[in-house]
Amino acid sequence: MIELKHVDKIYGKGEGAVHALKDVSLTIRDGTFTAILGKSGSGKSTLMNIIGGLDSPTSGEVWSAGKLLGKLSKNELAAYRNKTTGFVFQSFYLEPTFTVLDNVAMPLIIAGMKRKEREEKAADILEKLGLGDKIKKRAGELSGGQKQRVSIARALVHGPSLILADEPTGNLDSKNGREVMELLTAVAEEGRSVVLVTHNREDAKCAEDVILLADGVATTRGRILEDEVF
Amino acid sequence: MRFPDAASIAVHNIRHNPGRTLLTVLIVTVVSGLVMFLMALGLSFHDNLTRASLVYFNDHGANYALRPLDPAYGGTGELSREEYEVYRANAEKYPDARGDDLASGSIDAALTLRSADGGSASPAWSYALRDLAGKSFASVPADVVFYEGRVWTPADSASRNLFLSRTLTQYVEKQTGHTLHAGEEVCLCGIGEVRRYTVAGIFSCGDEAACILGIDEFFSLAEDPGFSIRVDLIEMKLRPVDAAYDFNSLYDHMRALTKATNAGLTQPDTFLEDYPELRPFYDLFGGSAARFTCDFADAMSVLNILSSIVVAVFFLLALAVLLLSVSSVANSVVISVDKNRKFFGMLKAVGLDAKGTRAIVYIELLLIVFVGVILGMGILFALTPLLSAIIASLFSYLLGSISSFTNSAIAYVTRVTLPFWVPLATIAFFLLLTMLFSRGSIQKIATQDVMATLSEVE
Ligand SMILES: Nc1ncnc2c1ncn2[C@@H]1O[C@H](COP(=O)(O)OP(=O)(O)O)[C@@H](O)[C@H]1O
Ligand SMILES: [Mg+2]
Repeated sequence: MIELKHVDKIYGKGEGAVHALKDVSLTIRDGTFTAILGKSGSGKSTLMNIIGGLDSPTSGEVWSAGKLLGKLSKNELAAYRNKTTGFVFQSFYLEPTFTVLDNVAMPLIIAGMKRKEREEKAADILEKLGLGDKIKKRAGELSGGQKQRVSIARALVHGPSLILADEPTGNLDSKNGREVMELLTAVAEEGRSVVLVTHNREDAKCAEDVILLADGVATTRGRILEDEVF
Repeated sequence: MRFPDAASIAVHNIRHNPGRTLLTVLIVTVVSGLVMFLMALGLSFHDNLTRASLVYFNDHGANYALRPLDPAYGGTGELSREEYEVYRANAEKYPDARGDDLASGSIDAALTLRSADGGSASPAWSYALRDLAGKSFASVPADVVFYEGRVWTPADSASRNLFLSRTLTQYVEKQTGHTLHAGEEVCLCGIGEVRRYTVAGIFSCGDEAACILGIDEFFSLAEDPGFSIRVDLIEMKLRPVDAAYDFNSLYDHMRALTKATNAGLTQPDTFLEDYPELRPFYDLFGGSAARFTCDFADAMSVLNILSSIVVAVFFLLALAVLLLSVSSVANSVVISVDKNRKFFGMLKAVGLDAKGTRAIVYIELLLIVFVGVILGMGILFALTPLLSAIIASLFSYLLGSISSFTNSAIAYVTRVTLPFWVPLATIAFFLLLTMLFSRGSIQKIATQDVMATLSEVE
């Protein structure tokens, strides 16, 4: 379970300060597909980065997997990112000169796993995501949809319990976008927690829980129904 | 993270930035070349000063142990610090041992042989005589026999202790114009000893002449407390006996003076007044030439200190050059890290910790410095002729004022020294200093939040 208690995030100081999150308290249930829905600039990425240990809140508490993130040391936080979470970014953050296999194996490389073992694992997951024939290719040579699937493979390869995806369909056409959403839904059905950040109401319909974010203020609600208007 | 993985990521980062990397390597190359040049200059100076001083002592006859080093005597022509230490250690351990034996690796064997055959068994002599045996001899007296490359003399011969010298004949000829011949007497007043020799034979060896000398009288000044007076009194000189003074008379005076000193009847600064009859000898030996007033070990330590200072100065210069360049190398490492900021951000997002980040950056640094210093060695080797020229002219200037080197038959050849640890030390220093200089920036990227790494302006 992930729990946020009175989380505030303020960027900068004085006149130019931006209050990106305002007293956010919420709970994300284990093994559910949760969407964070809001307009551009509403603080979605900020919220997700704080949940994933990529950024720290200005004040408030973030509990994840029984740990208070603010109390973890830098190394423990790195281990949390390396073992517990998997990230999917809008702009992929793949290393274009590395092979697809190496990109996917990166969390395992950092964890110090032996080459043979990690390459087997990475190849397995790529096979599952239908990228078995792209293993030896450089990441830079792939299309956008392929890149996003590779970055999902990277987010899954080390078997994390929490997948965080920040606008994963933002740079994709609608067909590729739909495929990525189906993939994430399948991942959630395996029993992992998936947190999806999106400004797209359609995408949010895949989620069981929805966190609405407007100007840094969060409200939690249930599934958005197919024909619902709000 | 495992080391090979960190290394391959480091290589990737370096290749991401070829222009900057090349520039950094170039700086390291030029600077390390210069640094190693300065270090080599200092070390060569030290080495040559030590060797030149040993040659100087050798030439003065004070240290026969060095003769086997002369190529003319079958030696290698080189005296290493280690050989010198062997000599010093042997001299302390065997106070009775003399000359060539002290430089021998198996001094016990040398001493046994000497007592068995009357003093001519030193390995160095054997080598020299073996070489000379095939050459033409101007004259060889009947009581000197060559056998199996060694000189054998009858135990009761007047020429008990045989001493082979090439420098002696040349020195005497140069100093006095007199050519030694068999049967002639020669006096050698060294630092701490006076000897009278009979020339047993002269060998021509190509253009050069060598003679075998039998020592008829030996008076060691080192054995009595009057030593310091006589070191002051007698500047080392080598003359044919009848050419300048009466050896027997000097010898008697020395004895008397030693006795008087031992009995407390005279002092170093008053002996000339107490014994005015010594005045002619004093003028002859001590009056004109620059005098040598400390003993061998003292002189060595003075020279050591002197050359250590020179080495230190060159090393400090090297360090200064290093320090000046290090900030620019460190800077360029920081810039390279900055250029790879997105990549580091991604690695951190998937779990790279501070230790891993530092490892990658420092491996980058190590590779750049290593390649730079290796190339710098190329520069150093290209500059070696310059180095030799500097050392050679420096020493011809330094030694030019010392008469032994301008008059002596022994030529001193300078040599350039570059121990293997110089490039290693350069690499180590470079690494240490650049790490120190770039530590702050690297620590920052290693420990800041992932989002800060990803979003900071490039
Ligand atoms: N690193 C940053 N420095 C300053 N302001 C930031 C930074 N990141 C985000 N912001 C601001 O915080 C607010 C929320 O941003 P973000 O979380 O990226 O929103 P979203 O992901 O919903 O578009 C925006 O006003 C944005 O300009
Ligand atoms: Mg966003």
